[in-house]
Order: sequence, then structure tokens, then C-alpha cells
Amino acid sequence: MEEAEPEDVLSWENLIYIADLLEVANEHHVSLLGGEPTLHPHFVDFAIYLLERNFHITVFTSGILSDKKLDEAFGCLADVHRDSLSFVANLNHPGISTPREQEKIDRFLRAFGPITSVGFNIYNPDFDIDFILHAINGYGLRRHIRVSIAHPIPGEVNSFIAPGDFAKVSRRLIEYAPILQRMRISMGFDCGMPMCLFTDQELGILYKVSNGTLRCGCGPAIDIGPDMKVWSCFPLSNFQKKSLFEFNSFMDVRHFYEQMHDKVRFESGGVYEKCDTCAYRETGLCRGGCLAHILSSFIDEKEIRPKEMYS
Amino acid sequence: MSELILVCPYHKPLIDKLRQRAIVIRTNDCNLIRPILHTVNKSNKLHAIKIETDTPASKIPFDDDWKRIPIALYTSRLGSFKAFVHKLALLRQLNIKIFLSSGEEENYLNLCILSSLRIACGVYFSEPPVNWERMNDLMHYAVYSRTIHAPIEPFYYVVSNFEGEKQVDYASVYFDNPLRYIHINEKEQIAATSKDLEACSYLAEGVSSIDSLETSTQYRKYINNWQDFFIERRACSFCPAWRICMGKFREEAEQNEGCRVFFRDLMDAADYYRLQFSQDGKKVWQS
Repeated sequence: MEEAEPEDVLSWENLIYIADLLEVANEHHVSLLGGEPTLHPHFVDFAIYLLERNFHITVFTSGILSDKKLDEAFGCLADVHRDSLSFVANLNHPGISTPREQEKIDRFLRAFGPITSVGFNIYNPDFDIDFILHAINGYGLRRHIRVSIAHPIPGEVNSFIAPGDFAKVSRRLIEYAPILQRMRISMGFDCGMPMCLFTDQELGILYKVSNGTLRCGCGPAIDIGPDMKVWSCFPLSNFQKKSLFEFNSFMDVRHFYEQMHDKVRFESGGVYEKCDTCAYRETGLCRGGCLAHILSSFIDEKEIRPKEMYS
Repeated sequence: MSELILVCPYHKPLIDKLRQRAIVIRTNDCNLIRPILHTVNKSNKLHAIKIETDTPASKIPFDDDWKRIPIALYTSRLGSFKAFVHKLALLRQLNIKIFLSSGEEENYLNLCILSSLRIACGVYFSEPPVNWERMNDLMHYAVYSRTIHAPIEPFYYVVSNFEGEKQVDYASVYFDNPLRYIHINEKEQIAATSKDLEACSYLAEGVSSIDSLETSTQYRKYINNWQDFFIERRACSFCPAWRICMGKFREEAEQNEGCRVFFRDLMDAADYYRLQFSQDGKKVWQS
């Protein structure tokens, strides 16, 4: 606390502000994301502080920590109850990691394996998760894979899965279902995919693989940046970005972005044209896919929609 | 008038002479807490122990035995957060208030941290100048925050005792309000405040003079000193927040208006607090 802090990281003052806001809203779960949250100079102190305030925290990390930071984290967090603290290690295929990175990840997983589950970001429809299955068994990780699909960031160039490739991704996921079931590994989805990607049989399989948590939804996850800017979720980081200080409560933040989601979906039902008339969308069983895809499609049109769709 | 409480050092012969009296014992050695408890429990009414130390709070050897008595810990710094956190479980069971110095910038943040972790705490005013802006931020956090957190002194004392017209002397928080506390040293020299005791500005001498102190001319004159503010033309004389500050920063007030802004805001906060939590506040909405 005595050292001068870099300006682009979350400050103690802002952390306390956020924690207070969440506490008032009766929200008891905080995810620490980055970049790489463990690089924050006060990462361990922040984690301990939030735990002391009875928040359950999930840390999203690459698992690549300096030896010093890992030792510090292990020394302070190793004894924390597994219900209060968990890590999601976003693992890349070993083929694209350097041996030095692999070594660091190995140290991390050895230290925190039992409270770590694997996060896997699909940005290529031809993905392979064999290495994750090896890691889960080898390091005794939590038997759960958190799958996210790379979405476009409206107005920016990034790698993502185009709606035309969704079916390919879903086939690949279904291929893994038998082995996941045999290994008692569940799979959860960060963002819901459109329900029509799957047959009823495949939905049944995914329902089982996800331990009954399969949802075809898409709603605000609420991200807060170190500058106290707030937005709906990572792919929507350029959409309706506000200052957290503009809101009186966390409920207000959530309500604002829920309304924004509804407004966008009023303009366009989902990622496909057929979403507009889909009965499952109308009944709420499917939200019509990721909002970022819908907003991206607006960019290619004439500016005929309400101004807020473009900001 | 309630009984005056004597603030004294840990000096056995003196404490023996203060039997049946309410006392606050000052010490700068945490290792003396146990002997103090052993010495005073039977014959004195121990009001509190005031520990003044340069050791950071994170290195203080808090102990289960301390549960038995109110403790005011005055330290310049919190120290390592990681080391401090290990003591939280015990601290929450103690009847302790941790005071950090206004002289260290980091303490304003540390007090927010302590309060949000539900550890009763406070700021004590060290050498001027005070960073009034940081003090004001801390006060706003203490009074206006909507989460449940521990009180931060002296703000809590002011807002919870403020009645609008009457004076509120937050020096009580520091055992330094001569209407409630008087100070005595090993030589039995008696002063109105700790500063006066250090400056050898005594009101009386000898334990035997304590009982008649409140009726003595010197004491009466001392506690009416505040009237001087309104005889002389000082910056404090025209300050609407005088009734909660009582000219404690008179030299600074002549130079700049930092303290005035702060204390006016504190008075507004006290009004807010009164409306929020007093019966009167409820009556606005409930018949």
C-alpha cells in the first residue's frame, strides 16, 4: 500500500467503492479479470480483502505468474476454502505456448489445481481440447471446463467465430460429449449459443454434459474497468460504456444494460433473420445468440436505427 | 455532572492512590497490557487503556486477554496488510479501536479499509498541516456510505452526538475533553488535556485535589476558555462549524479555510445522520 501505483490499474479506493456497491446490492460474487489480474501489484491483497468481506471470488488467469507472485499467492490463498476462491485458468493449446510459459503454467496448476477449472476460448471451429482433459487428470483440476466462444467486438478487428461457423463448433462440442461423460467432466458455456444450432438429441446430450445448466441466453455480465468505466460484457466493451459513478447502485447498472439488451433485440431478434419470428425466442428459451453479432451487423447497414445502437 | 475520569500513566504507586476512581491508563508498551489488567482490576474502575506506539498495527501482538477491556490503540501506521489480515479474526472479538495518524497520507485509505472490514477505527490529528481534502473524503465515507461498516472516529462521535445548537467536543474520543477526562502524571500534577500536561500547564497538584477540582476557579476558568473566541475577532469566531470544532485548529484557520470547509461539511453530515437515524427523522414520514 505504500508503493506508488501505476495509473492504469484498479486502485484500492475504487476497489472499496465497488465492494461497497456490490454489498449493498447483495451481490456476493466477484470475478477478477484482466488482462491478467495477477499482474496487479496488489492482486493478493485485493483477493484477501474481498475474501475478508465475504465475497466469493473467481480469478481468471493465464496461469503464467512470476515465481515471486505465485509464492506470495500460495502463501496467502492456499488455505482459503474452495467455495470462497476459485481460479479459471484460460489454457492455450501447448502447441502455441513457449516451454517457459508451460513451465509457469505447470507451477501454477500444481499449486492451485484443486481450486482451478479450465477456461477454453473457441476462436477456431477446428478446436481440440485433448490437452485440457490431460491437464484435468494430471493436475487434479476441477472437473469442469468453462467454454467461451470468441465474439466480434463491434467496431474493432478481432478473431471470432462467425455465425456461419456456429454449426461446426457445435458438432465439435458434441463429438467430445461421450469422452467428457466418461471422464465425469462437465462443460459450461459462458455465453449461450442459438438453440437452433442443435438438434433435440444434441440439446439432450449438452444438457447432460453441462450438468443441466445449458442455457441459450445472452445477458449483461457487467464488467468494470480499472478506470471505473462499466460495460455489458467483454465483446460489448465499446457499446454504451459508462462511468460506474453515473449509477446510484449496482441494480441500476444491471437494469440499464438489461434495458439496452432489450432495445437491441427489439431492433433485431437475433443473429439470424429467422430469430425475429422464432417461437423459442419469444418464450425466452433462446435469446437469439450473442448481442455483439447483432450490433456488428448494424455497422454494415445505413444508420437507420436509434443512435444508441452505434455508441 | 458525571464523574471525571483520570487519564494516567501506568505507575503502580499512582494507580494505588486512584482506588475507586475511573481511570484510563496510558502506555506505549503493548507488553504491559497484561500487568496493567492484573494491577487495576481489583481496586480501580478501568475505563480503558490507551496504547500509543510507533509499532505498525500489523506488528502489534494482539492477545486474547485484551478481550477484557476497552483499548484505544494509537499507531502511526497500519503496516503490512497481509500481516494485519491474520489478526482480523481476533481483532473482531476485542473491544478495540485503532487510531491512525493524520500525518501519513496512506492512513486515509487504511482507515477506509479498516472500517469496511468492520474494525472500529479513527484518525488522530498529528502535527499540522492536516490534509483536509483527504479528511473530508474519509468523513464522507464514514457517514454517507450505505454499507454496514465500523464507525470511524471522530466523525461518528460528532454525528451521533450532534443536536443542532449545542457544542459537541469530539476530544472525548481521544480522552481529552476536560469536561469528562483530566490528566495526571506520576508526580500527581493535574492538567486539563494531554497537551497541557506535556506543556506543564497544570490545574492542580495532588490526588487529594481531584475531588474539589470541578469547583476550583482554575478549572472553571479553563472550561470557559471557549468564550475568548467570541471576545477576540478570530477566523474561528465567525465559523458556523465552531460548535463541533471549538477552535482546535485556530492557527491554521487564520492561514487558510481548509478546516472550515471540512467542519462545515461535517456539520451537514451530522444533520444528514440525525435525519436518517433519529426519531425526529422518522416522524417526517410516520405519524
